[in-house]
Amino acid sequence: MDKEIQSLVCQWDQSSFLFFSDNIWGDFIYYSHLLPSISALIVSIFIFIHTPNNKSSQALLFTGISFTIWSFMDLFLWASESMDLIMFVWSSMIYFEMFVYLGSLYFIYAYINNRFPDFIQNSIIFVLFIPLFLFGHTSLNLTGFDLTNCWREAIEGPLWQNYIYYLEIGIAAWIFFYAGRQYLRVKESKRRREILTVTLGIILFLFSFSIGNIVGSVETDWEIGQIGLFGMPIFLIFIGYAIVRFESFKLKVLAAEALFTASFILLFSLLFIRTIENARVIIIGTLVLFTILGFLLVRNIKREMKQKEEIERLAVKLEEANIRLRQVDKLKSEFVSIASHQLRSPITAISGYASLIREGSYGEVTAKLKVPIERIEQSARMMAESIEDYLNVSRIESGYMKYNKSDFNLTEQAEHICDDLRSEALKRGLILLFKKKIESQGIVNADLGKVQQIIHNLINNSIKYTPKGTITVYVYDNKKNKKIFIDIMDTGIGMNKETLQSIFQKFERGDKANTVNVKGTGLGLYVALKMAEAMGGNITAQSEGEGLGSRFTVELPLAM
Amino acid sequence: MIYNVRIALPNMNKVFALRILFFTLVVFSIFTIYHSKVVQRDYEVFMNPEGPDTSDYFLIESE
Repeated sequence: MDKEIQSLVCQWDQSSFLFFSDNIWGDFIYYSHLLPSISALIVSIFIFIHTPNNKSSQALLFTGISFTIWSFMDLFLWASESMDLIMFVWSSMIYFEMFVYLGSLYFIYAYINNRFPDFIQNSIIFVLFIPLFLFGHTSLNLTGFDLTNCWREAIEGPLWQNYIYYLEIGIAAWIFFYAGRQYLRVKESKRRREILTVTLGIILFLFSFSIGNIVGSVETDWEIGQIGLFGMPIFLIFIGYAIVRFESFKLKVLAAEALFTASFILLFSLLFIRTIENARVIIIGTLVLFTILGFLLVRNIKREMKQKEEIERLAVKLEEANIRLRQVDKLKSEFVSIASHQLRSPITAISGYASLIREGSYGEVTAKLKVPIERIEQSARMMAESIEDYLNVSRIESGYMKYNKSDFNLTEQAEHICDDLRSEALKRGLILLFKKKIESQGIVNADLGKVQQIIHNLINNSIKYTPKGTITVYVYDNKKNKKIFIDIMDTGIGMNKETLQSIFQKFERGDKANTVNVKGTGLGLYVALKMAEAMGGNITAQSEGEGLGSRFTVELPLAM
Repeated sequence: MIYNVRIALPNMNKVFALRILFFTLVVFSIFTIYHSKVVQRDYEVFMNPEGPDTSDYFLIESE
């Protein structure tokens, strides 16, 4: 008998839109398929969109899509009247059922260790699929179509009945043992609970999915088998709990959002219950779920309110502390400013009078007196420099530092400063070289006095920290980036990595600074950097290590 | 840099190639199933009131 004639004899209803027909006599079929598959799709897509690079969200999306395709294929089997298509879809479902398990395996690997199974494990999976590739289209997959009593069912062969179900149990066991081993390795209790929650969710899902299919297959009662699909919403509840409780996938979802999404999906799915009698059963299940989620929500809200109150209390405290700190800082700056001004006048007097005495303005100075007078003069000069540094810091921090910008030739200025300091370098047995390679005019728009101070201080520093050798000042520019650079390179004591990182901080001096008997406040580089930054430039320091010299680079924007 | 890339690629490629082969075979297999069941209609229809003899498959209870 021809297959179409058989179909007519059995008076099967013709399906519309693939999934709707009177062939579906089970009351829960739409509910059991649509609720799990749509919720799986929504949740997995939501997680994937928020964390597309996370491997576990990729695996979850693969699982969610495979599960949805499987569910819709199953729904098609219920609705369709075409024997050919039923045989095709039923045979092909073998792959999507396995993909749900594979996706779960990949998910657990990625969730725990953020990696997928390696090449060897992938090869094992590949080998396990070979029987499916070879016999998927043969009678070993589906033996035939059972038309006895006009049943619309395929008869599953050994590939489905034996191989696939054993494979599913094997993969579930693989997940269980892998997660168990990782759980025992992890020491942190929060992470342990997180792994336990997700593993428990996935094991429950796979267990109910397997049991549903196996019971349906053995009993050939496919309506009972549909209960297995509810493992997916259970898994999603566990995933949702992990997201809310442990911020899994680095997602911050509040319990309220989770409850709203769950309630929307549940209420929406009630539309697909075919008879009002069955609604009672579904509503009881929904009520239980609502009670659990509602309890979690209330607890979550209470905890968040407590945290909010605590944060508000701390914010008030922090604001008070901040005001106090600003007052203290202002007082400190004022104190430094006043003290420095008060000190500067007498120091200038000391320095001036010492100079006059040394030069003989108050009568002949004996050779014996000259040395202590020179010492007084030198100390007074050093003190004046220190006071100037303190004043500069005070001005920078209080924002009162003034910059009188004008256009000038930086190369010429650097060359003049080198000429001025060359005699000082020679006194110490050092060679001070000046080099330039300029393509632009070398004009900068900055405060001339401060730029001079910066270059002077850096060259002076190099002289101080170089016991022997050469100091090279190299001026060059980059027309493309509109920048001009001054490198001050020396063959001095150099710096280690730690010193390099902190050299521009206040009161910081090189580790070996004292070994070359250099006195200083540790403010010079800090002040120089702040000045350069205020003029749109920068200062960087480099050194190969201690004893290997240093290179300071001043960078300023070119005006033309 | 280029040297490192050359070292790293083969490992990535092995898994990638395996995945490509795997999904190609899956698509090919599904196509074969379609050809066998829908185009050729190569399957048996059982009409025996007693049902087909499936006692070989251990999960099904024999009558």
